[in-house]
Amino acid sequence: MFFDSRGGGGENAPPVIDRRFEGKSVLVTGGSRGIGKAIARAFHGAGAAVTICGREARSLVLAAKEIGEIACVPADVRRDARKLLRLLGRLDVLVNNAGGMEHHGDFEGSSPAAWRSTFELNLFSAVEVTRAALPLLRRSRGCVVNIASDVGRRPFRMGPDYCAAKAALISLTRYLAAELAPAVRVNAVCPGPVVTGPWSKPEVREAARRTLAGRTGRPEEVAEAVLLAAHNGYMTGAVLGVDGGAARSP
Amino acid sequence: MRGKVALVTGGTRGIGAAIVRAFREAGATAVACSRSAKGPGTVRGDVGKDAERIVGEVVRRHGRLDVLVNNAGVSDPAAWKAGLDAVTPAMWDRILRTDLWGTFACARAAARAMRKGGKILNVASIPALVGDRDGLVYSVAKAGVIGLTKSLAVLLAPRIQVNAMAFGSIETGWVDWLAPRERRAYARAIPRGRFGKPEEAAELAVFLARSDWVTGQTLVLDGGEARV
Repeated sequence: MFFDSRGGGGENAPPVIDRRFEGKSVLVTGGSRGIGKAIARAFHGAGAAVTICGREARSLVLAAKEIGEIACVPADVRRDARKLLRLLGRLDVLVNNAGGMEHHGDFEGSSPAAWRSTFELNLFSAVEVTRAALPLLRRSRGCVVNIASDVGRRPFRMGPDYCAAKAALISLTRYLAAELAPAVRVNAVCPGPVVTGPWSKPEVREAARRTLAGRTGRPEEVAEAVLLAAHNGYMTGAVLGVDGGAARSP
Repeated sequence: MRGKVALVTGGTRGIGAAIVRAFREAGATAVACSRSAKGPGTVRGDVGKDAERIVGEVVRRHGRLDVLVNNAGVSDPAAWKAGLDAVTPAMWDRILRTDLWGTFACARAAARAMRKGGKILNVASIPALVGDRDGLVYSVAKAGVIGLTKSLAVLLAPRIQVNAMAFGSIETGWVDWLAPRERRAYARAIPRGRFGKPEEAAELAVFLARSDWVTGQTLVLDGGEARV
């Protein structure tokens, strides 16, 4: 039941090949960069047929070149959910990873337009992609993994709209775990600070300080948890904190 | 997990035995501890009384300790079905002694042995999060385990990662205590529609035993029962 894709151990130990997802079809939204790319790479490494989508054609192509044989679809999950899912004949694992923080700011300065935009990108997109994917997921008795955030469990200075949207995604995860059971499992992975963009050194230091580990995470560490949630047949409605100990509820 | 040494308390039956098997499949040296353990790869002892000796024995035999799984707990149908009026001080002390003190004492002894880092995994349970009709004292002990997990994660950071696994209804010995009708009612209350398998519980343990960045967490594996 356990496979180590990273090899390691003694020099004479044969590398163990991870085929946990052989024959499975996986879609990773926002899969061309950062955490999404690491998730796509991990599923590919575990034998899955992986499709990634993203808004920028160029970074999609670069990701595909880097990872190997994966399919990429230029798509904006806020608009193209149904079109995107029509391209797939089978789906076992949907990873709602697309999302992000478009702006920084405090509550007093936040505008209705900023709130709407944040919820569209981080919550409504996952709602629409999941809805479009349901017929395929029901057929395969598949699963959904939503990528939320530690700030959805324990808010941090990342904007009230972003924290609230991620909290809503966590709540949606728990709701859907019940409604879609027993056929489709739904779980959330909540990464803590993972440096994937052009963060300044003081920003990285501050992010690391909110963890117990005293460091930011690596995208691969988040990907491991996503594969666990996708593989474990008894896991549903779970919210996996992968955050160096930043949030510790429940 | 090649080259790693793991100790699993309550490791000769049920979830503990499945974790031992999974660790060994992953290449680790896994030692199972229980009060009646015998044979190679085991240590006999009572976590409520012998924590230091149990951990010391593993370190003496294998030269190190990398992973501790605190899985030992009191398994007693009489205590489990005890209603409010049936709870006695003796029952309370016995369950908390093993489930809570045993977890703490093994964790402390292990933390001393894990000089270069390690992982501590504590077995909790969803009654600790949502309450339970049948296992009042058990839920208290497991809620204690969750609090202990968080404090140890804070105290032992960044050297040692400490996490709890809150299992739902995993199919082990306690399921035999249920009448067939009760068993069906249990399964119906679980969104996934069935009990979990010990191997599924063990998969979560392997993940935690390998992760360097997950700490202070209570990870729920319950087929959707609690949703907290």
